[in-house]
Amino acid sequence: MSRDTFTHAATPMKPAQRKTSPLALMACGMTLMGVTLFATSTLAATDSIAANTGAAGADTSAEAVSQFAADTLSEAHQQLASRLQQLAQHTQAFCSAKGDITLETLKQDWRSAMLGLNQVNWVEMGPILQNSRQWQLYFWPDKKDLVARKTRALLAGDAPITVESLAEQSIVMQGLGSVEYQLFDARYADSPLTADSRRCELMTANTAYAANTGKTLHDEWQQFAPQLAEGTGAFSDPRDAVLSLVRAMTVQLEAIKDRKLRRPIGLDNGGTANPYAAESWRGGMGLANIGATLAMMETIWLGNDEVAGIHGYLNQQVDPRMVASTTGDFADARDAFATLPTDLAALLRDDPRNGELQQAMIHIETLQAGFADTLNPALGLSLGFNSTDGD
Amino acid sequence: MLDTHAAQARQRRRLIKALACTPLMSLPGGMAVAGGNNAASAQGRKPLGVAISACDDDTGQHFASCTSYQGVERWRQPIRQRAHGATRHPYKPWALIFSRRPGTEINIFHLDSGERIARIEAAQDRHFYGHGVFSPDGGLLYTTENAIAPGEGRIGIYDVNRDFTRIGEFASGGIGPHEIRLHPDGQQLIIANGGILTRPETGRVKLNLDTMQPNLTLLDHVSGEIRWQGEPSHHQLSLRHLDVSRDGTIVAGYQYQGPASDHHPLVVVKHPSSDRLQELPLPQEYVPQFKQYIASIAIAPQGHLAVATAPRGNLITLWNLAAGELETTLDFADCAGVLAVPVTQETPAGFVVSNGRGEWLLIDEEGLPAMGPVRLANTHWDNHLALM
Repeated sequence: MSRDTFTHAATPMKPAQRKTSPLALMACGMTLMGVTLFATSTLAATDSIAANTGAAGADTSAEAVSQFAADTLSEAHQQLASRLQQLAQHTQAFCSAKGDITLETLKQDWRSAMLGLNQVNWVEMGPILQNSRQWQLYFWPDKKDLVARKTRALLAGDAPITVESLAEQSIVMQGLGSVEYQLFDARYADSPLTADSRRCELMTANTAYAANTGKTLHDEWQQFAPQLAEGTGAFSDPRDAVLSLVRAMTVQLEAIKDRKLRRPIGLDNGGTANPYAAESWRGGMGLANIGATLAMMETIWLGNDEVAGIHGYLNQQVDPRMVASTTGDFADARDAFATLPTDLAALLRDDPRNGELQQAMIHIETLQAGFADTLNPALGLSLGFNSTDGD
Repeated sequence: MLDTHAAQARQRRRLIKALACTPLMSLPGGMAVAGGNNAASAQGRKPLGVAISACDDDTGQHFASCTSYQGVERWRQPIRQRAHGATRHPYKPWALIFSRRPGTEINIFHLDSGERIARIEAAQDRHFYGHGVFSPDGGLLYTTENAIAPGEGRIGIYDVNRDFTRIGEFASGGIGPHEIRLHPDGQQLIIANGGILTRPETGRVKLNLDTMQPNLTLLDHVSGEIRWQGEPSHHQLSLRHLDVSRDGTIVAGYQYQGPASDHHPLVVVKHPSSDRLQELPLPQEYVPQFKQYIASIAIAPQGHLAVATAPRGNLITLWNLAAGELETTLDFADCAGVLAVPVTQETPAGFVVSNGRGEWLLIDEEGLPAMGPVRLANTHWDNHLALM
């Protein structure tokens, strides 16, 4: 993917325009990559966000907000499953030399699956938390580059590689990280994947395994979604369900700030950028991944013209100025990311002091601080039982 | 503790006599059976495949829970005060769970049934810090305590064979004694004196941050004499939690009380062959994430690897003790409890890690998830896991 995919997809907007649907923005960006990110129905619903943020008549009850979140996330889980399925099918076709699937198609499929994953992997509830799925689908940070070591070791052997045999392998080998390594690593720049090779055997099994995981995740999410929608099961009531999402956003925004941005940019290391500390540095999706997460958070935050989203519920719980401030911070962060390329690692190599990246960093810090230092205390939310313990 | 030197000497003589007379004191062949909190302690008896942890539910009710390495809860029992650490009697099927500071209770449960066997109350002018350990023979229980009036650390001594009667105490070697373990030599108690003075009337407010003097202390468990002490490189590096391997390698975690932006190490090792503390460097880029705070420590039985949990950084960290460096990390929100576990029929050797949102994860020695996480609804796992 060219580094500037998102740059021309979303030209900087004037403040008055900034309520444009983040999903629409994402869809614009991804359309250029030949991928449709969101189902038409979602886009139709979210296109009207701009005019209807906080619209009179929108349902602001915890029940409606949690139902909206459950439905939105159900669709995102469905998308992830179908994108992983597409990656697997295309890989199988490529590796058996059927049809006109190119290596570039597989790379696009991988990027699309990464965006799908980043829409759902922040929610910190339901099946993504179970059976190591979050790590299984994409193991990161990979400080020791286990994905490279284990992939090379597996390829060096001669035992058949199947979905079943991958089940016995490290989780590092079961998800999109090892697919990324095989598609993008410089080691293979001069020897791209070819049909009927051992590497293709691994790619086929690897993508099929990830597709199975995606399907299971979606199936289990369907089982779990009513709990979120109704505030039952894992939640004590609908309010708890909504506040659990607020907590998840807080935790993830801190992770984005500290690990996905500050560390690779080098802000905690005397200013020396480290492109290899960027997420998805091989596949060049470090900033796009963040954009996908922010877009899904903002969708659930804003709601649509029938349901006010989390912000509408919180307006009744805390000072609405706090809520409005966070709504603005989401928009500012979205605008800032829209000016950036998808690839953080490349940006850091070319222009480590890029001003737009610094600006995006500031907006993420502001957004995160709004959750952690303003909203959470006002809502009486404690971020962690142990992190606040002090013993 | 009596006030005069003569009185202290008399008390010590009486105590040593009592300690020497404890019927289970002599063990065949000098067998070293460490106290029961960690995998190193498991030598000499078969682990039961379960851990004890304190937890709270969503309403704030406190519990003691017995849970398998896979995260299947066997039993949970309500307790009146929030608890912290736990330990197992070396021979009897008893789990002890200690109130968190400034708590005043130790609850004893039957490991199989969960039935409450006894409750130990803190002595006058004493409160617990949340940790304790048995003598090698199981005849005595040692607990970290605060002598409230003088504000000094004590090791309370309880006679197991006399219904846990408190028979005396040692000076802990500092203020704020926290985690305590039995050295695998069977002779010494390992004590992390956090150095922070608190008083019940001011709750958990830290009263001496400017003058605190934390240390790691090795204490003779019969005489109470200090055999060795080591101090951190900065007086505000509060040394709280520790673990010890079978060869006597001790790893401890710091909680730095100074500014968030300062750069100090947070994990420290005492190798058996050395008289000095070796502080392991914390890479600069991790300083903001750790937020100056380590919750729990677990060391692999062979002593080559340690895990330190950083709940404020939402991070499990693995430390290579031979190289003396941070080996790898794994994201795990609000993680605190960690326990080195031996291989069982159902689970590989590695570390169980728990977190405040009810999740329970088994990782292998590469730091990769091996089983779970499983999440127990309506559960917030507290700071520590203890091997049973």
